[in-house]
Amino acid sequence: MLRKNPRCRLGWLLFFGMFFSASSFVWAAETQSPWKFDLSLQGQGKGMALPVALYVDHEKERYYVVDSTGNKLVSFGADGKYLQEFTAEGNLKKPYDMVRLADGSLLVVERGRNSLTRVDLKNKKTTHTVVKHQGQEVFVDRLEIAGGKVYVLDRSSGRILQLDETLQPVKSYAMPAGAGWLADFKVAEKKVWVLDQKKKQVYSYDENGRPSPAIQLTGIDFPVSLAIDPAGLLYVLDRHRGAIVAFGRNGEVKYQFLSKGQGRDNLYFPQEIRFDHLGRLCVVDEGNSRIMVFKR
Amino acid sequence: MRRLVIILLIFGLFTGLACSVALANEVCYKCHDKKNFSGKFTHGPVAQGKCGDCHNPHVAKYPGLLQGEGATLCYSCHKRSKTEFAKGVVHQPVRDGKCLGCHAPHAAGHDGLLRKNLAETCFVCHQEMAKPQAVSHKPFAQGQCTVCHQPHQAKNDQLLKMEADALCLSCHQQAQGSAGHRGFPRKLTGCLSCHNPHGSSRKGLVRQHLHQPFAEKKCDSCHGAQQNTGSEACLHCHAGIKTTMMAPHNHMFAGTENGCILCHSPHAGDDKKILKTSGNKVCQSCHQDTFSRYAQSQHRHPKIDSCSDCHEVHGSDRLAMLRDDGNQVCSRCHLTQGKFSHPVGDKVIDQRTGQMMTCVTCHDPMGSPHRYHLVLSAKRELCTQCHRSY
Repeated sequence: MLRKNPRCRLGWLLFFGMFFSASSFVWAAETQSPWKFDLSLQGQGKGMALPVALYVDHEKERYYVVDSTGNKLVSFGADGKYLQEFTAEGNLKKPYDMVRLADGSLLVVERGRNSLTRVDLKNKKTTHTVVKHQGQEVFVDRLEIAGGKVYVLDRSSGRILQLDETLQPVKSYAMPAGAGWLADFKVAEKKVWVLDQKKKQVYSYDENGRPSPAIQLTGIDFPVSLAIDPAGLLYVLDRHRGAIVAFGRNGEVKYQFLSKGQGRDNLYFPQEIRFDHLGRLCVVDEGNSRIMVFKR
Repeated sequence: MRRLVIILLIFGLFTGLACSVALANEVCYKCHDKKNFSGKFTHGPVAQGKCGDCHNPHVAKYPGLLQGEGATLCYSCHKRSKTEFAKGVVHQPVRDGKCLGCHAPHAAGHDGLLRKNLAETCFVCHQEMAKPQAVSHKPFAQGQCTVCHQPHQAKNDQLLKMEADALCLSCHQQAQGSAGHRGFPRKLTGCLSCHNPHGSSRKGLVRQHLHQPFAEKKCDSCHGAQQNTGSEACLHCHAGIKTTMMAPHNHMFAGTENGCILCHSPHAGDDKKILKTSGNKVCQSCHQDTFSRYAQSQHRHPKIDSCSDCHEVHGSDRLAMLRDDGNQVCSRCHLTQGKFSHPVGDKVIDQRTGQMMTCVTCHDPMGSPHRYHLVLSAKRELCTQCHRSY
């Protein structure tokens, strides 16, 4: 019948065509990145020198970019438009990260002073605090705020410290024995997620400090930052390859996107990734002096 | 019937072998001197006259009329090696597929078809090791490198057969109670932080340069109960280093142990900086991906003595921890660059980034597939990034 009836032959061809198209669509959905470039934050005038961190103010729907070499904080609106720059009247010394506290003041990591600096914008008052833990000076690094609690990475001891309102450590998360060194951490899903750059592993701890099994990452060269997708994936930024790799919660590679360079789909010595208030993935692209925002 | 099949098979095997040897004798060795293909140790296919296993007698893609390139050809027979040699820490020539760096393909006077004896083979690349030392470790003096190292790959750094301390103590069981270790507070560890496993000018293979408190036997200044832990144990004395680390990019390692001793030995070293191992190998222990890219790139900056010629080792405000901006760091050697070539400097802005044009805007010294280690092809792609109307 198939040989004799041309209509039937055409039907079969259509059926196979649709089957293969559907299969390729499913395959592509599993292996290709769903992320598309949305907007870029680049500052005004001389722009940003070397942006090293991004804070997303979910309440005000604003972006704050930390420009370490420019010694300034630069804010952008939800649409990516430049708002203003803040230098604390020229007194910021190599800022490295920041968050906004519940009272509206800014908490800035000043690498040049090794201090957590509270900037009271209303009263134009700046307070520097050198944090100590167990009698030793904390080398303050990455900063996070979640559920009103402030967390900081101590690069001297390799611990994540939870701080109280006076910036004194009240809880510490120590890494497992044999861990390498930590590049970044995020607080999400009521857990502290930590990226081990040397071992290429991700550790997670619940609020009581109980660890979950480490997630081993493969296919990356030099991981520097991670972001936790509520949809279930882990995103890891590979600085040397200028790429973002998406992993399943068991460490299996789902897909990767972007590459090293200076074009639109490139990153050049990127520093950090994080999600914004709209679930878009933001990349601090230090070498290209910009923040790239990707939407699904 | 079964017997007949076996007899025919054996007959066929011998006939085939005889034919292939005869083929090599009759055809290949008519021009190629057979003496060059025989030695104390001969490669199996050569001994069997199977020149055609590796070479195509008529035409081939690869030099030497080879059927395949580099290690790919070797792995076509040595299949297990391909899997084994990809695990753990891999020796660079193996990683680069350069089997012939150490092995002769036809025949050699040394076991394993090594081109020279074991130590001489190693010293072809590891030239600094060949320098005579006042005191030498016995296996090293006897050229027995493989007593401690595996030549292809290993689970441990430096291609060691075992974890370093376990390897030392596997021979030196008496070291635990020896006079030199009197007062050592716990089980011996970190042997290599004091001893050079190859040779030294000091007795007991103690490394050449000693950390001052160690030389003065003031162990308490670092190990005392009241002392700092982590990197602070070092930085409370080396305050200047701490200042240089207070930069956006730094090597303050956020690890569970003292980050300083990832690069430095706390007791003794072979140079004034008391590094754990020689020069760039310290950097390579973490930045393996960069070293691999450099080694495998078609175009790259000529070999530089030390990474620290261009990069700060403790901390820098600049990208990639460069010592200076992307022009100054290059123009120290490339004196005329920027004066007659593409304009660079703070008055020439890269429109893509808003940053000044520097040498590294277009060149990647760590390696690239393009000529002059350019980041993109100079035929068009590189220039049209900025000069869009061209």
